Amino acid sequence: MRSQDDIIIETSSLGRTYRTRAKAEGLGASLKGLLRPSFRETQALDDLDLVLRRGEFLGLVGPNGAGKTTLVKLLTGLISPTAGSARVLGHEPARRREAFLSRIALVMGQKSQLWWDLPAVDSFALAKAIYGIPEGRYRSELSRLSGALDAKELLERPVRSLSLGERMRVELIAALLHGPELLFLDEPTIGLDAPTQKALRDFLRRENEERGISLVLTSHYMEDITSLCPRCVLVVEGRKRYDGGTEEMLAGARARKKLRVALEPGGPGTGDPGELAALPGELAERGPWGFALSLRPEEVGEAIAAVGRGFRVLDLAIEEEEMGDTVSRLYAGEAADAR
Amino acid sequence: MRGKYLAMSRIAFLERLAYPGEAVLILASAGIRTFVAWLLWSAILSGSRREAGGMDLAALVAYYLVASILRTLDRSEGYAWEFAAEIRSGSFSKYLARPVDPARCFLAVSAGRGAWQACLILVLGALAALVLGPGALPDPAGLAWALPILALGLTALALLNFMTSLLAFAFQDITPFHMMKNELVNFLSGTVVPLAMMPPWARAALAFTPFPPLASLPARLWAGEGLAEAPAALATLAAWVLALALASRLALGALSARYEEAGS
Repeated sequence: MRSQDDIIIETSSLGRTYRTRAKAEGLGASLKGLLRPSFRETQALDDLDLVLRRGEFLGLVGPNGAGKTTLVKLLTGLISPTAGSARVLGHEPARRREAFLSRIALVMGQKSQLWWDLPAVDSFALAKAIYGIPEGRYRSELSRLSGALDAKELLERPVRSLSLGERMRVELIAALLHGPELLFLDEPTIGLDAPTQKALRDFLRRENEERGISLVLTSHYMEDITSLCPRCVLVVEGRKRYDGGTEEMLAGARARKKLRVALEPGGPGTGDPGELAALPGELAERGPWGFALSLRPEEVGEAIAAVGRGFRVLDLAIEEEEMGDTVSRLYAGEAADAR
Repeated sequence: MRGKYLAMSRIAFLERLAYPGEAVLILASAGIRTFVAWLLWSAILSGSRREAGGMDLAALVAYYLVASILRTLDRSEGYAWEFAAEIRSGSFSKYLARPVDPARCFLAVSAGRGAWQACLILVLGALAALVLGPGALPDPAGLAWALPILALGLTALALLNFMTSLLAFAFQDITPFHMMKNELVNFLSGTVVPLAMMPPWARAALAFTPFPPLASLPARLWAGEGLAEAPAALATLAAWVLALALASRLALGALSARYEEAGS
């Protein structure tokens, strides 16, 4: 049975407003802005409640500018909230206490914490000093992590000479050497090729399952989220729109199916597009091979019957909607309900 | 855990080894500055006048050489540019998400880079002593005062550069601030004109600032002069370092609140 001690992140009505300078286009507006600056408030995050328990692997999803990175910044203490409160590992993150920062790690896919001109192993030695890692533990963790990430050959090469995928592997080693209880990952697989993405996902899954490390992952690659995070939080326009199982969220959003129909060449449906107008659903694709319809689940039977009646069918297939379409619908707020 | 800043200095030292030629170029710039000073003062002292500020041409050239070389020990200015770029790009997060103090990181890296420069100067000094004889060596008592004064002076300057870099939170381009600061520091430290040539009231006023210990006073101490001024200079510098450290902390607290606007 889980106790209150299992909770490692707890936010209550967490909010963050940014005050930015507003300026209209053109020289006149620029000059006017010098004399009488105007400001605009942007609600980057609003009224967000979140609980994360020890050992969970949480995915944060949402479109660009939704507030995911702001949430990560608030939870790691990079910025302070303007509303509500957050407690992470029993600490108020914005106070940036050493006892708190020593127990977390943050990896940002587009930012490096390594010394560019030196071999990664020098940055690891610095991490050892920063976190006060005992020599024996440092050696064993370095060996374990570099083995698990297949990075032993990379440690003595200058960071600047590493490829993006290689650099991300050594970034993860640097972040995990001190044995953080909670790891924040902001777009860790951005720009990586598919095999490297998979290797990193496998590694992160093992760290979570075998070592019990809790993870919060933001990624635009839904494959990262679906393969790693049993639970996810959908943030849209700064507000939580969904908090629950990842599969359930996607299943709820997969509201449409695609009926792909291959037709006999030269037969009905391959010429005049008007011949397809009477079919249910929306015409998603059309070509010399036939057509595809986008359908609500309840329209599928009717569509198959109509196609059978009116066309000479060579082949017929029902496909799940593409992930990109599902995600677009999720981000547009058509599917998920906030829990 | 206190060793973390020492480790940071070490890694900054190692980083300089990746580009060893840079330190030589920096020292070459000190040589050029001395050469220009020699040209200028040769012209000024070519007439009936043989001395300026109590120094003849040879003493002036020696002063410029020592003062210019000492100024190269400050590597915090170059780092301030990098630090400002990190603030603007958002890479500054690496200081905030780890249990480190950004100001101490800045000091540690500046010290590590300066240490590499100091090693090179020591080698050059040893070579000079071999070629020119013991006359090129510093006065021992002067050196004993010059070293802590230089250390504190460089710390004060690094804190000033740290605060300048923090302006990147509020300004897109901090070049004007750097230019103004550099002009002031170079002039008031005696790197451009020996402070001995300034009127007595100006020298008295400057004694309360952290600038003369950056070049002028250590250069004179090197030659065995100004020993009487050293204790007061050391005390003044210590006070400045404390004040600048406090100001840095306040500035970091106030300006880093703007961090979210400076990059993700």
